[in-house]
Amino acid sequence: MENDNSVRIALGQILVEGGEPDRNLERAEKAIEDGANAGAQIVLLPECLDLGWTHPSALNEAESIPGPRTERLIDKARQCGVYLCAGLTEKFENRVFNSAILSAPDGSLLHVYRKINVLDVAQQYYSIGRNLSVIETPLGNIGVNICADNYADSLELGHTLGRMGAQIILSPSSWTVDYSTTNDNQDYLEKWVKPYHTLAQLYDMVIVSVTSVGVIVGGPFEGKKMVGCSVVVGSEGVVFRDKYNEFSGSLGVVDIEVPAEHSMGTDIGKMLKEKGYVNSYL
Amino acid sequence: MCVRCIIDDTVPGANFDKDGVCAYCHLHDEMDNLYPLTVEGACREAILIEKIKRAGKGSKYDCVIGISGGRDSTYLLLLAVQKGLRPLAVHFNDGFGNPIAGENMTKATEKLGVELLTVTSDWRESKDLKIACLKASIPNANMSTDIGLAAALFGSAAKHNIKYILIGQSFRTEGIAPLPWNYLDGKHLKAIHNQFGTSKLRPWTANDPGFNLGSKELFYYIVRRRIRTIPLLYYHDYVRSDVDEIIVNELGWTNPGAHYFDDLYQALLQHLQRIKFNMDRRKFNYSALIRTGQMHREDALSDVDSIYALEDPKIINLCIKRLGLTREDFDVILAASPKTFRDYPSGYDRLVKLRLVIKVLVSLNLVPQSTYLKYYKYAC
Repeated sequence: MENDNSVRIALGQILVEGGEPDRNLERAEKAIEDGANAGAQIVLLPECLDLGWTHPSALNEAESIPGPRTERLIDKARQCGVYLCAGLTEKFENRVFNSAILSAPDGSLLHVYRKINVLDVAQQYYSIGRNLSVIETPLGNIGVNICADNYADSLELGHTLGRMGAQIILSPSSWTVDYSTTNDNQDYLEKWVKPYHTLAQLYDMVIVSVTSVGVIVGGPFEGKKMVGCSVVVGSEGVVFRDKYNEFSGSLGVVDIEVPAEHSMGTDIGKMLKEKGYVNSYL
Repeated sequence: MCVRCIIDDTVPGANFDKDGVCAYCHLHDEMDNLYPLTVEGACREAILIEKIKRAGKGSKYDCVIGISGGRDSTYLLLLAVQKGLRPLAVHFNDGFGNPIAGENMTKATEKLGVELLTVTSDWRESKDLKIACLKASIPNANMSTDIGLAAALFGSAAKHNIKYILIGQSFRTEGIAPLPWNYLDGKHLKAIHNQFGTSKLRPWTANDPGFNLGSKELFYYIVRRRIRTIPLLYYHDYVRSDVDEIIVNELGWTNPGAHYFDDLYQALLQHLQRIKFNMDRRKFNYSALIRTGQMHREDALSDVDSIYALEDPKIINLCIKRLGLTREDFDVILAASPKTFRDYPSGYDRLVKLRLVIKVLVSLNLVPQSTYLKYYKYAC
């Protein structure tokens, strides 16, 4: 660690097999363990890592949070003494949410976030979340959102986390590309890096996004796959990019400088104006 | 049962001679003569390697190597690099890869500094084809993967203008499968898909063939583009236990758990073939190991009496679920009357008529002689 403001984050870019929660959780536990062994203080894992994003099993195999899967992951994170942020499919009453948990090294569940910007075709599985939060931790103020929450046309969600004081955004993701995409064609990355960089510059934040690897084997996105390339983006641009892979996970370990707390309240408007931000609708 | 190996009369084409030796042992001996483990064999391999290097001069790669993360292809990749070849490793991903094998591929290519190209099929096609083969009640229910893999290798070679494809087969350890057990051809797959599939397959293009590999496409790749397929391991005294040690030590390889288990779908295939077709591929696998002194006949006989580890119930259920089927759907498939490849249109009759043409292609080194032996001389 370079100084007190530095945090080591492990990006658990794991293989996620649709509809196979036990196999997926086994890989998630290993990533937590490997991350801790690499000295990470935070381990970030992908979106819907239990059942796979938009896998039809979401409708009948989702579990409550907290629940057995949450406990299994948090227990491992507690044993390893790390913060954990992981995407899980949440059953709540008669609805299912695409959720993310944030737990502390002592095993306490600090936050459950439910994805807001759910894709139209994914709404047959997931209901819309209604809350955003930023959690104060000794490592900094952590905001959580999920994958498409950071689309260029829904950047208000990231803006809101910035306005709530987030210094780090952890974003479990499941970026999908067409089956025909290969290693030599990664234009899709720009779709993610651009909005991350916009937010990071405006609010002087670090955005960490971990996606999974694997073929989508059920649901409306059959014919697509996840190919990794998880990223860490700061105000200066991409700090780290993990490997391209279609079938095998990896663990990226990155030391990030946690930016100082930025302006709050109406001062943010001034800060944004100084940085040239224009709300084009007004 | 053969007096030398464990091929018995459940294996088509066993054709025991007057001394009780099966045709597969004779085929093995003939191939052993074709690919001798002698100085002459080593020289022939060295000449071949030089030819491959010459053909790739000035290009980034000189050969394509199909890899799966299993023992054979991992060792082949190591061997090729040690011989100074510059391969493009190509993996065909149809959504059933064993994650352990996936990690093996990543480790091996990284350690050897070999570029890995993953050709992923459209899952909607892969799934539809697999279900079609199950509904067709044919023994080679994984035919689409074999065709897709071969097409991916040819397509990648064509795209990068590479003239040689190296494959990790070894008759000395894997044996030779009876034709009715693993018959495959592009026309056959298409006919089955036309009858039992639910969606259209994407059309062939030379660089992206998908699951299209009929005689026209093969003619294009083999004759027009002159892409040759080389079973490099045929030139080697391939001893499984030694190879395991080498690839574990040099590449950090992990055994996926059983032969063929680089592909999870093999669990379902093994189960289907045992229950529905009274087939056990271990008979020709172990027979090969017996012939090369790598397994005792008694041990092989004792092993085939028990269910193979490959037939893992959890993985079978995974495969069923992944295809979007229920256990009840699969039980109906298991209970349906078994068919053979002869029950559907195929290119087999044409292949039989083309015997002389294939012989010419063999003499021009465009088709391996082993293919001729299997499809003609020892066809059953």
